[in-house]
Amino acid sequence: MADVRIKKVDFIEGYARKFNDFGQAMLNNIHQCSQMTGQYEDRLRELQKRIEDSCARIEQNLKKASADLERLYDTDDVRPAGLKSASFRVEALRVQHNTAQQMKGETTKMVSRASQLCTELKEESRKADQELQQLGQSGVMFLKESVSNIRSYIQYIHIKQ
Amino acid sequence: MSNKAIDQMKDDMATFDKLNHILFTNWEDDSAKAFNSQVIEKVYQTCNSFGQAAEEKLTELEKIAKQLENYAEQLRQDSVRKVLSIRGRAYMDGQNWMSDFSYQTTCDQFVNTTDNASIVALVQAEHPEWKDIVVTSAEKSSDTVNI
Repeated sequence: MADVRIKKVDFIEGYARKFNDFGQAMLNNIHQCSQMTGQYEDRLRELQKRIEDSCARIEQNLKKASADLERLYDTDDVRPAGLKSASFRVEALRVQHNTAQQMKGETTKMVSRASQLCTELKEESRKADQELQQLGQSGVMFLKESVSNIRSYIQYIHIKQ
Repeated sequence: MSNKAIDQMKDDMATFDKLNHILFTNWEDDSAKAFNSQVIEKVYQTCNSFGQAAEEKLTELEKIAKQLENYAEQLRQDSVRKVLSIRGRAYMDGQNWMSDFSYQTTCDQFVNTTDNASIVALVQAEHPEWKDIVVTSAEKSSDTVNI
């Protein structure tokens, strides 16, 4: 009977080491998830800047093409083909500009949503980290106490015998 | 961006599951039951709840990042002027025979257009004196020219 209990003690002690390793691994995973939010924030900030730069270029293109068209109207020697081509260009750029503005608006919304997701995930990481550390500590204590109780019982049986 | 941390978390949970199964097969008393309900079940709850939330949020973040990458690329292409090389045939200068033509043009309005009719319309707009224009090839340059 005592042999079985000694075996049980060895077993629980072995488990306690693995339980501790698991806790460390999970905390590491949680930290990595939290770090990923930082990477996403950097990546999305960079993409938003690229989008805004392109939108600014598209706006410049439209302004330039509109100015070209105005200049053509002001010229005495107005060629119908040239006017048609220039107004066609302005019209196409206006459509492009509208699309760009729409994408810029959606980008702002998506970046805001991403920022909310990152904040929530960081908070959840912090909470999970805290809970797991507490559970880890009480788990290890519990196992130590169980081992100690079993050992005391084994000793008691030896004395009794 | 891959969710390596999430995959690792799933692996670690599976290992932990096996470990607990072995533990409770070999340790069956009131203490074991208490350990299970006071610690292990709560650990599962914390890990599963975090894992699920993290997976959902990281997946949505990845989706947003991909959508923004598409926007960024589309707007980059839209914001630069492309060179269109056009080859074809047309009746020029009142001649009775068709002559070959080949030229390059910058054309903001055709950035997203490659159909033949639109390209013929472009050539016609730039050369209204040409008749019966036939476009045999039109190729957008991969090189883009910043305005």
